Amino acid sequence: MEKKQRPADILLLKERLLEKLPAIPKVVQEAWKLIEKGNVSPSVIGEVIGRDMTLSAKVLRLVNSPFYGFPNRIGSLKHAIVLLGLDTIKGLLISTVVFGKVTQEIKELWAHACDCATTAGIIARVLNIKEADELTVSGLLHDMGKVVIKNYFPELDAKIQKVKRRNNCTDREAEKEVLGVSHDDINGWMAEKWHFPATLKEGLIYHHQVKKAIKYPIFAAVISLADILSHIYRLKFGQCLPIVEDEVCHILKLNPKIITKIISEMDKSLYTFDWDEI
Amino acid sequence: MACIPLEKAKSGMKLAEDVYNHGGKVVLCKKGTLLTEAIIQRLVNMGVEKIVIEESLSTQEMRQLIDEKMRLIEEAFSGKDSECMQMLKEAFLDFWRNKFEISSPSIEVQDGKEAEAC
Ligand SMILES: [Fe+2]
Ligand SMILES: [Fe+2]
Repeated sequence: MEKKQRPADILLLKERLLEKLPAIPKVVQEAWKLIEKGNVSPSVIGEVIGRDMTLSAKVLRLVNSPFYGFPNRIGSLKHAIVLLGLDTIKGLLISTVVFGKVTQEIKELWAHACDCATTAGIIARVLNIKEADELTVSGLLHDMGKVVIKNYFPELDAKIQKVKRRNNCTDREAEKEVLGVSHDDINGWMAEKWHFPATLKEGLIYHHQVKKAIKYPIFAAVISLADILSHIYRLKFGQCLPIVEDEVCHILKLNPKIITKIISEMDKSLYTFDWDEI
Repeated sequence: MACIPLEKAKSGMKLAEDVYNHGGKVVLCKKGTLLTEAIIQRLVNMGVEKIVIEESLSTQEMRQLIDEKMRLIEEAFSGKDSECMQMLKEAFLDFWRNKFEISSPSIEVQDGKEAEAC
């Protein structure tokens, strides 16, 4: 017998969760401020990020990972910023804050995030959607709510995992039962607190309910598709797949040929790649 | 043994023949080498188009692999009959069948001649 979460409980969770979010490193804050001001040159941003060696190394590793499929190694932050644009760099900086150090507990989530990021970029390129880099970042962050629960509320996470095993359901259904909200709702709280751009928000908040994405349905649809394709590609026994609504197929005008093309592109990038190296 | 285009090469595969440069005089990579992403990239950069690899999986193992994928997919999609889910399911079933048949020994027989020209 599960007690139903009252709105007050949910508000309390929101408060506690936002409190526990990791502090944003000074350098990242400074870079964000500059990015938000607009009209700032890539070399200035590059210099700011460059002051933190670990951070610059992380950003460069992400930029040179299979996400973007650049043919040549990108050696400098400035070059990376020119190629990817400031919004994408902002997203990458956030991902280093969210994931921090990839521990054993969140290893699986990290690998799934990387799969999804790569796949979102592939979908965008196959479908000729010009925001491929932004979509890649959305893919990387799409389950960040899960990461936060695992990192900061291990006792709640343990309950969620138990419910998931007992009911043989998806993470999302188990989260709803235990928390009263799910990781996509939590994504919304975080996106609001961190002032994410609207396009990024749609993918994070509506990747399990594309129907509700009113402003940028394409963003939500791409992430929904990238998510399920990543799951099917690495399917395990007993795994419960999320549902992809028919809207996704309609919004993206999918047909079997396009899907096959996307899967074979995924296979080239995901088949042997070990995300631990990133 | 199977001759495959270099795009199909994956790390973990083993070279069954030496790989030569364009003129066919210089050995770029020795028979028996276990491919890694780095080696594959190097061969791509040197303009190699095809390689001959050892077939480590038997027909039976290949069957098992395909069967397992099929079973996994059938199980995960049971009860999910919407138009979109069905399309994804069919696409993946086709994809795994094609992928494993490319390197399956039954295909290798037809490829046998080509292997010499590799
Ligand atoms: Fe999700
Ligand atoms: Fe996901």
